[in-house]
Amino acid sequence: MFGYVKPRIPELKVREYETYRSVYCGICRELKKRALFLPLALSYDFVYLALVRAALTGEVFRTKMRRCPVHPLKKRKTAEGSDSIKFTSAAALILVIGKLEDGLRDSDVSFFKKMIFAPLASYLRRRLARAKKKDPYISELSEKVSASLEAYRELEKSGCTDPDVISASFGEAMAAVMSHGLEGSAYHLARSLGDTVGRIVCLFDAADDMSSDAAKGCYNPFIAKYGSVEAAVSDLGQIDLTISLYIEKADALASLLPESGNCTALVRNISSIGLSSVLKGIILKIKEPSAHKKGRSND
Amino acid sequence: MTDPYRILGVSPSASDDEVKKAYRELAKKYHPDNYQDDPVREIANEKMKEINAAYEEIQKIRSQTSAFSRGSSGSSGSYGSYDTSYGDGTSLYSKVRQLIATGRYVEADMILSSVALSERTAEWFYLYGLVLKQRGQYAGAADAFRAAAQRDPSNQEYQSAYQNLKNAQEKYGTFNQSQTMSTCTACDICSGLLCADCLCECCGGDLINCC
Repeated sequence: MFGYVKPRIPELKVREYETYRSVYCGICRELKKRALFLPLALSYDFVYLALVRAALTGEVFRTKMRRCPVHPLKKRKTAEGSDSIKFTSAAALILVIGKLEDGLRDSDVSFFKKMIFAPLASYLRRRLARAKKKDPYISELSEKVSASLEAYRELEKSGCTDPDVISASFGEAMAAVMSHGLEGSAYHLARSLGDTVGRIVCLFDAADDMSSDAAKGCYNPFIAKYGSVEAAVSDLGQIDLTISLYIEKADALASLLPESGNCTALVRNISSIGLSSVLKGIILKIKEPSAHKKGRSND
Repeated sequence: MTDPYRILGVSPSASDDEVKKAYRELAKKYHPDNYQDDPVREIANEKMKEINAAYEEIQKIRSQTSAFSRGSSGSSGSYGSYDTSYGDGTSLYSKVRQLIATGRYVEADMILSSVALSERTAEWFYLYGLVLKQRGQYAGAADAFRAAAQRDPSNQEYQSAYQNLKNAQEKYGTFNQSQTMSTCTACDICSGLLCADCLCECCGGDLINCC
């Protein structure tokens, strides 16, 4: 969805990095099965979702060497036949439809973009309807996510001035996705982790898009809180502190995951130093816009 | 026990009128008279009991809370012993501290929210920060702890609470002190001396004889 939730690669072991890439390729393959063009919406956030589910269920990914249109020359390790990846592809389909519907409702999106979004959304909706018939859990998940996203839109419309409240509604959507179908302590842990990371993603997006939202006149939680971009930038330390506290919580929750090898190690990397380095990129971009044209950069 | 506010579908910060309105709407919806000869009558009955209990619970909590903020004496119930010295808010805050210590954050939040804006002291902000932090609302908590630390800079408790938050920022954020602090290392001293020696030699003198 946003691509903020990614690992800090230099801190990974080689086998962990290989697992990460194989899951990424596995999700891409599974998205293609769900719908054409859906792999275009693939982001790091979905890989995180699959990794958390795998870490909680103790699933071990089986890989195969595969070629794909993006890498036609060299075969790459691709995770296959995994429940976590299949679940992630279904969640991705639901979330992408939500995002396209948002775009269609948004008055700032140009007419030409809407001309592309409308048929794409209707095609994906048909694919979702087919998936719902095949797997009943998808329709339940779709309802949960739609309700949470609707609550988020309502708050956005009302111009919510509390970043805690608006980010909580986005966190609820992520918590619903991450915990769906799990039971017992795994369910509770997935919910808390989903909620916290959802909040972080919402605040990252708010901080990252402050200037562009102000230029377009769109809603932004931090502009709503402080009144203007200038006021928000002057209190950047407090924004940094807020997001740091949420990352600290995500780090603490990730440390509760069962010790199940590469997936747990990857989730822990992403939930602590991964998110931390993205935060640093965003804050530096706000402080020095010219030096950091792309705040999401991560080494 | 289930949160009575959740049962009525209102937020704890809702006004009395909003609570009453929510209660009336639900009571209208679930009134057993609407379900005569219906198999779900029993379920509606149960739901009605639940709504009534939630409404009574909220009224009870609110009457106790308003007694706190008014500083009136003679109210009944478990909070009666705190009635005498609310004028300065000290006992009110000690009660809030007790609630926080026992994990009753919703009640603590409600008592704090009932304090008038003009009467909110550094301690109020500190306690409110504690409640928000425990409830996972970090933006509000960070603002409250900062306000407490700014209002009473001499109070060690407030300063260390804000500093504790900043530890997370040092670990995960960008605003850490080690980055901004300029330090003077042994290497800097040596290179400084060598530069000074070169300058002295240019002028015919010598600072360090051996080089």
